[in-house]
Amino acid sequence: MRAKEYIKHRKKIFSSQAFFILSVLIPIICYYSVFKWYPFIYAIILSFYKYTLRSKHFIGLTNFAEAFTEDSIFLISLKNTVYYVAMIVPTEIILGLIFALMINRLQKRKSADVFRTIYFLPVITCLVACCITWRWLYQPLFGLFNIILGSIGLPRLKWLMSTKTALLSIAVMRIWKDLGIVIVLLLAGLQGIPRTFHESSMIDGANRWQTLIYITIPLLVPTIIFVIIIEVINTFQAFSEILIMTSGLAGSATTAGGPLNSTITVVLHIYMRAFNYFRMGYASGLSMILFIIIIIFTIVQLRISRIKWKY
Amino acid sequence: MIVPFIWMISTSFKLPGEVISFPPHLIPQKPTLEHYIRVFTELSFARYYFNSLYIATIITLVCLFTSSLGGYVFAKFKFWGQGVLFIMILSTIMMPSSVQMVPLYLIMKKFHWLNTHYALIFTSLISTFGFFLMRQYMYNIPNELRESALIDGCSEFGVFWKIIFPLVKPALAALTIFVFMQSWDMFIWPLIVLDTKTLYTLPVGLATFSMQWWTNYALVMTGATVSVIPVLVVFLFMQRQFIEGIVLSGLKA
Repeated sequence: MRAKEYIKHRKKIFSSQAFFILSVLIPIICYYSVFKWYPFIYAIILSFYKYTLRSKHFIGLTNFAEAFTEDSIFLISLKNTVYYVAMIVPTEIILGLIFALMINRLQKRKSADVFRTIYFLPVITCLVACCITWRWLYQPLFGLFNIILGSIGLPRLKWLMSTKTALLSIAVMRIWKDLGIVIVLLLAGLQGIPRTFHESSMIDGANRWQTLIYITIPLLVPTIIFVIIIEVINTFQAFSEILIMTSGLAGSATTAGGPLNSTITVVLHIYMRAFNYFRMGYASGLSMILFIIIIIFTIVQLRISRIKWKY
Repeated sequence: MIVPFIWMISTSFKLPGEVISFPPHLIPQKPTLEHYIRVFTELSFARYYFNSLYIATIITLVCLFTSSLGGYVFAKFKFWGQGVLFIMILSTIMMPSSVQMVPLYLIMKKFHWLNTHYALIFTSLISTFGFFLMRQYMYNIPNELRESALIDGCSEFGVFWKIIFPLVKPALAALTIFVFMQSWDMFIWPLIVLDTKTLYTLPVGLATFSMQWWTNYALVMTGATVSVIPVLVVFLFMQRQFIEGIVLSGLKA
């Protein structure tokens, strides 16, 4: 009798457990199917089609061929994006490392809080507001930067208006904005290094510089690689800041992409092809190329990080 | 580091003539609130604020709920297909948003959700990252709690609601900040989906407004300041939680 009750009770628990699990999983699976997995598959399929407002038909690999042969803007955008990432990520890592090391020395003092506010403020502010403010700072005639340059006697630059400096200007803003996150992540990595390493190196008579180069940084390499991966993937998909900082007046997006397309990035190009020209199939193809690039990069990075860094 | 912000706020209080005066002054000599008044009355910033606020709130609440439920089920139960499902959810992190932009737009078109707030809310209802965070956190909750509650006659939902949920508050706090900030900051997707000005969220409204009124620099800076102040204030009061949230998100991702 006892056993029967026990089995009944267990069955009851089991089925209510099953009910619970299903009632959580089924909505989740439905949601992901509709809003995540299906769009992805749809994107892959779309990239083989010519899909505009008027016509939709299968054209195989023509989109991809066009991207690399006829579409000069795409290649320019690829080049720009690579330059953009190359300008931003190393600078962020180096500067971030310097600041993180400096702040780490402050430990729990009040000044650490103040610094934290300062470097983290740009991170949490709306990207749009930051872009607008920086665009105003970069204004050739009245912007603060040129006024300062002029008053010291240095030549005024054309910042966002010149093909040579436009991308750099946007990169500087991006570095300013993202440095906080890099510092925070590097700090977390720094604080994860056991103190025993530093103590034993001090006992062995190493000075601070040697400790830094031979102990701290090698131990920090996994964190650094992690930060690099995140920042590269994020910066590679830069869109908003380019659009806002190089759009023309009256909201027209026609000048977006900087003077002579010098700042156009891949995602911006995809956006314009998809929503200005309504070439959905082609835009999908471009986004697939972007996706493959990101995947390759991530795999390469992960392979590199697999090299044993144990001590 | 904070010079741009100082300049932004300073410019927002200047009269148009003073904005382009030389040499520039940090503290405006004739400060004015006319831009602030204008931004809220004529230029419907209040509307943008309201839109962003309620959309971000809905998204955050739903995400908290779904992430913790999902994380709980994956952390504490074993079921058929668990591994496969997990990998499929994991794979969504690798899908860049630019890939999903175009198909999602076409799907929204089919649902007739274009130019509505549904398109904004429904595409962000579950945060994959939040799901991972919650799952990670719930691994550390001892199973005995759940088992003893069940023996005491609690239903499965009751276990979740009364016991597990209160225990994950720290992770929830970090997740709230993260998801709220992310949905507040959304720019590309609302830009693609929304056409009617009254429906705009704050970033989109701010961007189009600044393009339109670009030559009135002080006005534009006022718009920017107004967008930034709330987050700033919240941040100043909740610094620690903010940064913990970002670090958690960075480390767990």
